[in-house]
Amino acid sequence: MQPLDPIEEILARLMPPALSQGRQLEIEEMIDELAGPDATTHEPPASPWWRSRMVIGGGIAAALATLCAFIPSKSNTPIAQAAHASSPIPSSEMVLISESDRIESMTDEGLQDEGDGSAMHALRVNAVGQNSLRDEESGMIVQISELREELLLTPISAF
Amino acid sequence: MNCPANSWKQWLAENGPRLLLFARGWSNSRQDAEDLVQEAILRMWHHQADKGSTPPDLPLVFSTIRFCGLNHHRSESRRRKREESVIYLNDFQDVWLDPVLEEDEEAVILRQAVQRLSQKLRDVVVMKFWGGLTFLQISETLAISPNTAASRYRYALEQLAQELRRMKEDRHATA
Repeated sequence: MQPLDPIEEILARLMPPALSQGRQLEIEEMIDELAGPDATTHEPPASPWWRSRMVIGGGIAAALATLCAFIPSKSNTPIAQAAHASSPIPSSEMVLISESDRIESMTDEGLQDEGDGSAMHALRVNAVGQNSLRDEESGMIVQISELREELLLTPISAF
Repeated sequence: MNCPANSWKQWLAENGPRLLLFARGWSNSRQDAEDLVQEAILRMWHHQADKGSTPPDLPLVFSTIRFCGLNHHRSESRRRKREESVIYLNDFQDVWLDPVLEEDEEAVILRQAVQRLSQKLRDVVVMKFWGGLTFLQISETLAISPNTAASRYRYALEQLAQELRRMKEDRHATA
């Protein structure tokens, strides 16, 4: 091995400082966001407004499901009693006969800046999940619909 | 399979300081240098997406930092001149290198001398000495011949030696 120049010996006593802690964390968060939902250590990227919209969507769905459950209760049918019992999926007397998931509308929201230099393509989707249940005793069929709004974000890696 | 994010974080922890040091030569402050490092990593991430999302080779990152630095320099040269004067007067704690030993006068003198090297010489010294690159890798990064890279390195060491002598003499004269 070549002997070190005297200047190199002095240079070896100098070390580059590390990135600041804040910046290190910022870059690591950026890496997590870039890695997307596959990253195991952190949650997938989701900004607060996106989360709040999911909550709103979930709220609407819950309200509709509750409405569906209470309307038949006025007629005091066995189904209504089952719904009153607040079991999310009715007991063995109720049979699931079909389930569907359809997209009602899609709106292209264009590109969104993520604040770290990357961009995401946003697509808003209104979907309806629908389950049909039959009461074995009365033969009545009940449909439960769940409206939800989703925002699909696709990372853009090249323009 | 190892998660790409984890391998990138590990790679960042290992190479962050040497990337930051190189970026210092292309920026006016530590914050600007960290911006350059972050921008380079973002570009590298997209670049590596087609290559299995593995962390990039160091010479390529040096090259990208240099490219980003050149871009910033072109677009903000006037503002940089104003900032340089302010940083020179006020930012005396903002150093590029830390001495390993306390009260290491020679190391402190050389630290200042490294910062004063011309850009061409300093890039080679940083990549060779703290980046651990070979002259061949440096030549590819800077688009110069390996011989030119080696001669720039030797010339830089000579300049540092002269500067060290001169500054020691100055200090002894004033003491």
